[in-house]
Amino acid sequence: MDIVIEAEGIGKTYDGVKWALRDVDLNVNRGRLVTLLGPNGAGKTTLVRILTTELKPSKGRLTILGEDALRNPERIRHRIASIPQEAKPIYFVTPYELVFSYLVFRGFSISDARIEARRALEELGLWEVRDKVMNNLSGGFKRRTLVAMVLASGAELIFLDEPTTGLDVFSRRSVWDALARLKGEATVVLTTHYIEEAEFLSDEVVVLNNGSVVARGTVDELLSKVEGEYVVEAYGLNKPVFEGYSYVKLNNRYLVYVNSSEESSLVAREYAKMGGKALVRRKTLEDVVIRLVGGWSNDEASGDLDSN
Amino acid sequence: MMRLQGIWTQIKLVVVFAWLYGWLAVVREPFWLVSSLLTPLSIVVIMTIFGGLHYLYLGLLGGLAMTVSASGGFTIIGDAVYLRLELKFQSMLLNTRLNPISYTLGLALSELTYALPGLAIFIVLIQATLREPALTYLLATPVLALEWVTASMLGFTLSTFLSDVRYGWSLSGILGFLLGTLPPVFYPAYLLPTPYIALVSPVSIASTVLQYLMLKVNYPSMLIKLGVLTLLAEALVFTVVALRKSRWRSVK
Repeated sequence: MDIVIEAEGIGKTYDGVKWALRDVDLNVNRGRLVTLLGPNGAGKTTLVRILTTELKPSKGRLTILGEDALRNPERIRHRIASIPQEAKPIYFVTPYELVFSYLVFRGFSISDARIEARRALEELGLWEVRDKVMNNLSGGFKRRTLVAMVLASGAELIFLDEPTTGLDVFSRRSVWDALARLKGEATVVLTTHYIEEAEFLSDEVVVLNNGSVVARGTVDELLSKVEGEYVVEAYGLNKPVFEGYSYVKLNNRYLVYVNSSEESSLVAREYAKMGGKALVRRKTLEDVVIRLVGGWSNDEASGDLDSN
Repeated sequence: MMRLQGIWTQIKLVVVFAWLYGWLAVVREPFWLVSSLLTPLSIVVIMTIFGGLHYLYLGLLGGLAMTVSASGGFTIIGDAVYLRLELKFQSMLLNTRLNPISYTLGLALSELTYALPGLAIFIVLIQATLREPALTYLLATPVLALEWVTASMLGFTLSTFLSDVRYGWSLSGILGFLLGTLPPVFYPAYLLPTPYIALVSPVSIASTVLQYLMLKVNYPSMLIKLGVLTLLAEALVFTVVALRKSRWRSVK
């Protein structure tokens, strides 16, 4: 399996003082769907902008699709497609016009652009609204039109920076279906805050925090990095009462990692007796990310972070 | 042969861009078109009321020159910043065959396309009142084209320095006033201490040349020659600067 992205020691500073990315190494194999996870400000978007050759890193080496992406970005740009974070479509055009013109910009002939635009719009459930002006469409339709642009592009490497943000559950799943169908054909790098999206789609997950890669692996590999099978999510008391258990404090709540459903019920009951509230659920990738980065916000204290 | 094919491809992409962002805007957003014409037409109306027929002619020529630069050129500032920062469309186009030069030209052509109905209105009014022969238009067209290139490329260059969409719209309005209204665009340059002040702005140069060609205003021929040369030099310099600034890769 050949490597599509080879990033070595990538670092980025905007002001020469603070590093948005520090020594990031990343290898992505062809046909894989890799998800970048991490809290806001972790460096996901900066990394994506560097990998799409839009942003120049301050240091490091980058080979994309076999080419030196720092020296010869123009050789690979037409083989990549991307949707930047918070991208929006031009408001006075229709989904069909936007996808069609994007494909022409990518070098499709007029007739091929028509065929592929139709295929992508149908795939994402946009054909019925193809002639409606963007301004009259909901946010979900707008976002899906952008996804249709890159899916129709036939690019070897696709970057989607939070493509489903703001979409309802139905729209989100139509994007998931389209991405799932791409698996094996194109290499996809996805960033998202929806953990279930990462679990459902990813061949591999890379967790970033403070500009560094803190963990990477398949979903199962990452899940195994955190002890326990169950999580007790407890809130309402200021003091932790989980002696002998590993836990993380996240804002006002504690996530307690336990091995069995019996243990989790026991912990939840004890906590409720003391006046707190607790719910029990199976461990997900979200718990892994919270555990690895010590919580999504910067002001929390963690109970047992050295086990990272 | 490959090179020629590449150039042809880029020309095609520039035209597609102008269709997408210029023509579709004309068809779908006629209100903007009307509002962009209001400033030059208001000036023409006021000048005619207070100055009579002679000032109607001056006003129409000034309106034509102002529409070329203000609606067809300086508006590129707001749109370039909008596409780059608000829509992130420039980032999406990074990974297409459209190269940075074609993107800049496509955007400039979109602005001109959007201004075409306004320009047509001014040309019809000028023809209805002045009844100029076709040759005059043939002489005027290259001057207006140089003015459009200068305004577009200056506008695009300025847009690359902006980091807030609101500044883009404001700056195009400020430039429209500073270069399209204040200098001798709607009034003759001979009213100033020296008519050579007209050389300060590409819009007033174009307007002065139009007055010379169509109203036979008695400007020194040196002023007209210098004006055309200045416009040519500005168009070249701003084009080179804009194309240098239109690189895709950013460091921020």
